[in-house]
Amino acid sequence: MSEIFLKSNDLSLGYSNQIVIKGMNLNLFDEKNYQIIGKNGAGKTTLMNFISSNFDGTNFESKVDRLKISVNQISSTPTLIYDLTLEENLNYFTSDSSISTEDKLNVVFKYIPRDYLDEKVKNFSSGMIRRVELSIIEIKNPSVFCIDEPLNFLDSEGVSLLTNLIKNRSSRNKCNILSSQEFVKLDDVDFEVIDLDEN
Amino acid sequence: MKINKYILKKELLIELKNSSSLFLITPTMSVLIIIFPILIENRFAVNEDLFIISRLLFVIIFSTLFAIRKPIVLNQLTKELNFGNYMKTEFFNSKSLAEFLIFLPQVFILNILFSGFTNSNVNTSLINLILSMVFFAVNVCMINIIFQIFTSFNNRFVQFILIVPMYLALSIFIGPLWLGLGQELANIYLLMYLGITIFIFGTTNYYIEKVNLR
Repeated sequence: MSEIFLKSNDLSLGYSNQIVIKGMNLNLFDEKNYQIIGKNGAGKTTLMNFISSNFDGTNFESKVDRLKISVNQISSTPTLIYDLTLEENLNYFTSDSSISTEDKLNVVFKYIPRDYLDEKVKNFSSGMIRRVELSIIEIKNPSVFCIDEPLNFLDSEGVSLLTNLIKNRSSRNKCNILSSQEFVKLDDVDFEVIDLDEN
Repeated sequence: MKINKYILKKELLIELKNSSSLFLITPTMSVLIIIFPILIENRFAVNEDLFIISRLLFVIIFSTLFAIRKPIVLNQLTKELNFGNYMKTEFFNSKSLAEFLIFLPQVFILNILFSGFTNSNVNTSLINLILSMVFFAVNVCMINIIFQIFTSFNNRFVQFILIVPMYLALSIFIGPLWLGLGQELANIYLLMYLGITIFIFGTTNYYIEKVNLR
């Protein structure tokens, strides 16, 4: 049974006194997929950060009802800790997952080669960091997965891994939210579009 | 008290790998301590009290350098905690403990070095000395984290200017203890210090829980 996990009427977001998103009505269901599209400066990242509780601007006292479910975001800048190795990052970010360490590693090795396990993340390329973040999402399996600019930094193999991840999640009725300038077409996955240019 | 072993381990690992405090701040302070007696020799008639005050000054400078060695970027921290599904209370408690474990041995080393190089001692018992340093270290670590996660001053200079008076206030309790007090008065000072520590810890945890900061 699909439930609204985030509801807000007349949502206004911005930074200091500057409004980026004004008077938006938002009802997000936990079993649907969404794509937030809009031009540069339309407020895609602002809205994405707000959905995933990473927003640090002003919400102009908008009334928001939010269910307490796990929401994880892959943002345009890396979240991994540069000074730690891949294995240490994995232990830190997936500590709440019930999966065994061996299974976690098997998931990670689907995304990146084994040689990287003891390597510090600061030596990784942007694409590799994004792959690691995707593997962490697969391990954690959050109720809602948000990804900002999903195709950034990924090669064709990376895009294919991302597509499979979203398809798998979608088939298990988990919510995926993508944000990009243009609509990203994925076979077998239906998205509801939130067009910020129209708002 | 919610302490998360993963956050604690992460903080200790980062410090171990960077060793910014051990390799940068401690040697700098040691050099200052070595130079200090040379600088004052033949210039002042140095009495015991001056050494105690200088020792406190060195501890305050060292604490401030330690506090500003790696500023927390709030935006990045929020992202990191949300990605790992950690609560801010867990972060506050675990980070405070990690900082304390890193900081306390260095304060001890600093004091031993100071005693060695200046051939001076403190006029209090070893227990009072250790307890005063433990309380000072706990409060320094907590205030530093509170200051960084509740304000947006991530500029090192602003941090330095604002955090020094706070540490001076904390050292006011150590001063009389080190200068020499009767056991009864010393107990009162230590109890006051314990009260301040509990107050800071309790109010911070209450505030974070109440505003439901993630």
